[in-house]
Amino acid sequence: MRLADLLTPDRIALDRTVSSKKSLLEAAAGLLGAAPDAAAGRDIFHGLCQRERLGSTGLGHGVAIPHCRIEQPGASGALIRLTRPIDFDSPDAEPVDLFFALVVPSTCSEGHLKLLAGIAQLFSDPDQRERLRGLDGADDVIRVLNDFEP
Amino acid sequence: MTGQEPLAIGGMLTVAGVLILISVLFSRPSEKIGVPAVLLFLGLGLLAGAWLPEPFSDYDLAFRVGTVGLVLILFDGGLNTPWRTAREHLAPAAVLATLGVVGTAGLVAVAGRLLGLSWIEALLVGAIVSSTDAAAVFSALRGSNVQLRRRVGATLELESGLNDPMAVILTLTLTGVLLAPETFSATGFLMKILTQLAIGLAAGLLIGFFGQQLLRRIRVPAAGLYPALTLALALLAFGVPTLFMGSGFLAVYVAALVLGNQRMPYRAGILRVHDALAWLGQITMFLVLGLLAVPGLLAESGLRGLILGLVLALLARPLVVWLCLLPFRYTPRETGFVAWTGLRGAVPILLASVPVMSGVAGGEGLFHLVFFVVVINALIPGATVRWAVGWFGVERGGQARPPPVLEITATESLPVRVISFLIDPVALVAGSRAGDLPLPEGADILLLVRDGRVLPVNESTRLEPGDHVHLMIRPAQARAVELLFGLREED
Repeated sequence: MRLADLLTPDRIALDRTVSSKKSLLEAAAGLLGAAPDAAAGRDIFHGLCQRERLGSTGLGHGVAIPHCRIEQPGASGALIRLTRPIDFDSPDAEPVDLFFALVVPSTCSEGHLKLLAGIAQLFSDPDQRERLRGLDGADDVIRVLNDFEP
Repeated sequence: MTGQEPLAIGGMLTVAGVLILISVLFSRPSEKIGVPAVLLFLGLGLLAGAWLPEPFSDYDLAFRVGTVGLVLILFDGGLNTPWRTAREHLAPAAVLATLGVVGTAGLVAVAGRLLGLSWIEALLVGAIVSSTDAAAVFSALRGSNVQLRRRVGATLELESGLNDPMAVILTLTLTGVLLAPETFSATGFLMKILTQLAIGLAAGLLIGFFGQQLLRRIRVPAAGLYPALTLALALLAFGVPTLFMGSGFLAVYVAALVLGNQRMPYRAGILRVHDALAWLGQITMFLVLGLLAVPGLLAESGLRGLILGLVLALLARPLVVWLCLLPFRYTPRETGFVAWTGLRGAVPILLASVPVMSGVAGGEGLFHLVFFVVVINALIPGATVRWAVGWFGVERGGQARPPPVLEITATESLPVRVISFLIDPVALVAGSRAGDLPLPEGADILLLVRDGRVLPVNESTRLEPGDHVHLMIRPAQARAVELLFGLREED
């Protein structure tokens, strides 16, 4: 599975506004729960919160990858970009504005682990971060992900 | 050697051993019920003092023991303060540690004056109780699996490291004024404070960087000599600037801050030794200070001490913190928590022995007054800190890092680090085969510890919840690995 296959335009929210870590996770769970065959948004929210409790999924440089396993047949993702960055307990203490939320089936496989590693690699690249921050539409986001080969 | 030796020293060491033993054994139960362990040490000293054949009243000895203890505590505090997070909170902490100390001292003095102390006595009491002790906050939180928001924790920690020198300078100067009132001048006073801080800061930086170079270049024959060397640096950092009219306490903290934030050989071992020394310092200093207190005099100061203590906790500290933090965009809840947890500890009691030593009239009365103020201001915030974290909502979402079962330490500077994780069912890697993990180039799992057994890891080993997994990584890869593994253990 490629990164671009995780997203559909309706799960890409550019220029959202949320006030806190919790409301960001709620927004992400809302988008992920609306996918076909997805688990309930409430369960996803709960899973994302549990994962954050182990340690923030913020990577530094204003990006984060909230993720969890959940009872559902396939993996799916959501991309959220905020107008105003929020505190996400990142290791560099910088506020975060770019999120790639990911849910994978509870029988997490090698391929699913690679998705997480792939997103981390995408977000670690300063050029890619800047591209994602400058885009105007959901289609452009998918194009960026299509171009990206981990 | 007198005829009484070695019996006398044997007796002293036996008493010291028993007291320290009890302190250590009872520190966990006392933390569980929320009473800061230091109060237990203090109470134990008080009890022991009542049993002595003749009252212990050697304020000079107590001052020296207390100073050594404080040097060890501050040095350990500095070593463990991460500069990266500290840097951002330096400005608010510095304001709290200077203007905040003066403001608190002033307000307490007003209250003291209203309670019938003379102005100068009231100011002296204010100065003595003006510095905070963060160690108690953190030890109270340590057992409860609650983590403080970085900003709040770092502010409290830095404040308490930096404000002791200010309180010391104020107290020594005011004691001087009490003894010779005609020598006082406001500009001279201000100049004195500034020079002491400047010399202390310079000496701390100098010794810190000197120590850094020294540790990087020399090799000593035994690992145990490294902590001996850092201890020597701590003693020098206090001693040298003190000889040149600088603030030794500031220098010790600054030197440790510089040393702690760089690579050191045997880093883990050095930190462990200083942690132990700080505990010993804490125990000894509170025991000795408890020994000094006379129950009868305590009863006499009771009511005044109680009122002053409450004024400090509920009025002076909150007001001063609120004013000091106004320019720094803290949320009202963060400010509230910092204000509430103004724990007092050893420094005030140590400083309260200064007027007695200098022969100030009524000095012993002040000592016992301060004793009360400190107990109240350790008890109220100490016992409520867990509750306060929830009430003010300053908890950092997340579990505290669990301790590792195995420590792997580099004795030379190597390009890799060994980090460990406790596998939680929530982590994405839980249940996966080691061979399936997309680890960054050059990172690898070394071994895992499961149910007390140490297992080698090959491609088909599955990572089970509850496993302690040790990996070698390059520092730059830490985030990518943490993302996969979840709950990082302490290192």
